[in-house]
Amino acid sequence: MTKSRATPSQFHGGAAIEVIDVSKTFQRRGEHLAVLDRISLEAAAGEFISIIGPSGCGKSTLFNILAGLESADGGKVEVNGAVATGASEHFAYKPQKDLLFPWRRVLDNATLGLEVQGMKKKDARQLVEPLIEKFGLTGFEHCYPYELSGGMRQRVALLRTVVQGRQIVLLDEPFGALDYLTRTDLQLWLSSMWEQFHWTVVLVTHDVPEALLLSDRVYVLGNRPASVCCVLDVDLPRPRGLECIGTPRFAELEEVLLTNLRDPERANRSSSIGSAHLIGDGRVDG
Amino acid sequence: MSLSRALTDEIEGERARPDAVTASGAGVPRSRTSRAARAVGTRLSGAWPALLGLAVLVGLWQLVVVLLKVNPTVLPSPARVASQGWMNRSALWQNTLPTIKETLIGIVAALGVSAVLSAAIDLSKPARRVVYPLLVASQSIPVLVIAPLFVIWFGFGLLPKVLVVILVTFFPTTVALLEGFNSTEPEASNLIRSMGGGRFKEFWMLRVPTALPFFFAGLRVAVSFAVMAAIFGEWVGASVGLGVYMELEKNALRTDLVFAAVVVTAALSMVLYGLTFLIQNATMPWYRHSRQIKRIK
Repeated sequence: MTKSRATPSQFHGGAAIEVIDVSKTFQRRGEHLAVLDRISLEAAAGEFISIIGPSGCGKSTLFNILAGLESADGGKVEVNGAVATGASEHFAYKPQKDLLFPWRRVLDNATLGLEVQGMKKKDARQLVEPLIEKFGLTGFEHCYPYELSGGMRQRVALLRTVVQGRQIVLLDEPFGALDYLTRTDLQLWLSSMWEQFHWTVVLVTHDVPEALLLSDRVYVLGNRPASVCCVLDVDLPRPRGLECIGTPRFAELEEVLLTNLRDPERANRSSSIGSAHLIGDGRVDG
Repeated sequence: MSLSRALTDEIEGERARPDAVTASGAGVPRSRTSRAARAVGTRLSGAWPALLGLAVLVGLWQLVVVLLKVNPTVLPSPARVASQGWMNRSALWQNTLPTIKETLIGIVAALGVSAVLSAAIDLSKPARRVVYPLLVASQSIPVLVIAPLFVIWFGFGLLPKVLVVILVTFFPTTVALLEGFNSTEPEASNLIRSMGGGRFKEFWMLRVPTALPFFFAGLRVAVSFAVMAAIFGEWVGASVGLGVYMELEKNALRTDLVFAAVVVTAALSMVLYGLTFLIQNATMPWYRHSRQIKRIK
């Protein structure tokens, strides 16, 4: 049966990723603008990590480097132990905007990545169709994006991202443009999807509860040039639902993150010391 | 100038199009045919004011000619134009057909030219540097001068008229396509690149569909010049066509038949103009609806 090919099982799991001492400096009219200063982070296969930091701290630049859209000046990226700097084929990238193509129907938007990779439309559809229901898009397969609500559009964009069959999913502030209720819904939904599929996810956000709700580990970036100033293991039990947000532990972790984010003194002091050292030093355990 | 205005209108509309539509717009769409029927109905009912205005104008014209007893050689009454035009309908039709043919062949050829040129300019920087200035220069050649040369070079047949039509119509569509390609969101380009797509995939899957609304704006401008260009080509040198017919009847002091030919010309232009909307709605069903929603909001 051809259907056997199209089971969502192949979208399960992911690869381990390690970012080692990645630096980036932009040159603008002869001026050097250091954006990333020896960023190091890691995610084991099937882990969900978040990068959180103040606006404009260079989170997006880091993502562009991972997605192969920009090159790093120093450091390297390893996927499953092999150097993968500048190679985009390991990463499925979900930009901030949903960027659905208005001329493609929901199903065709979801298959975009597969088609770009050269897969035939028919095969791509067969691969994506079983996931439509899980993504809450049943009945909307043949709608155009303008017919969808903001939350649905983001789900289509996420579907488009994960079906690419890449080993690591990069989410760049995926729910930033949504209203509070829709955002919370989608966060809980994404959490449950991750429980099922165990993708390796790197999430960039500046929404502290979002990072806590979804991640196994949170990396806090300091001000520009950004370096990792704090690593927080999120030991909240899974599966995490809405009730998790009300627990004292959640509040504690939230306070730790907020303090680290809001204390520029500490962040500055931290970034002046070596980042490798800092990860050990700045790690907050319980 | 109508070119820039039409382009700006369409483009402004495109920019303002909302990225997201709230849940009120969500729902399984109704059948396509009922939508199409409604759209045609809306368009026709929208035409009533224009028709009314035209009727008033024609009525006034008739009144003035009758009351002042104007010599029909100077200004024939609309009734006379209609009756004489109808009596000479076979001659009119025989001269209309070649004009339609030249116009359509010219437009299709011009579309081919502008597709090739705009793609080359968009995909290669050297082409942009070399070809773009030449395009602009080509538009400063007066058609008045070049059309007779076409007759000298290519004779009295179909080709010189088609060339005039191409010369007049390829520019608006080329510029519109280039503008359209350039309006592609850089983030969307990055998305395609992150998926492993190269320059050509990006062009075909992203830049071309993005440019479509712009293209149709340009096409409407082109189409409204096309019939006039064909007639001008005939007027310079041909044996048959509306341009020849008008010239002959003018020399015979049959002003009424000249007017009849003008009416046919205007009708041709309007039909072509309307066709662009039909083709647009067929190729971009998503576009009209998303704009309707915007208007409601």
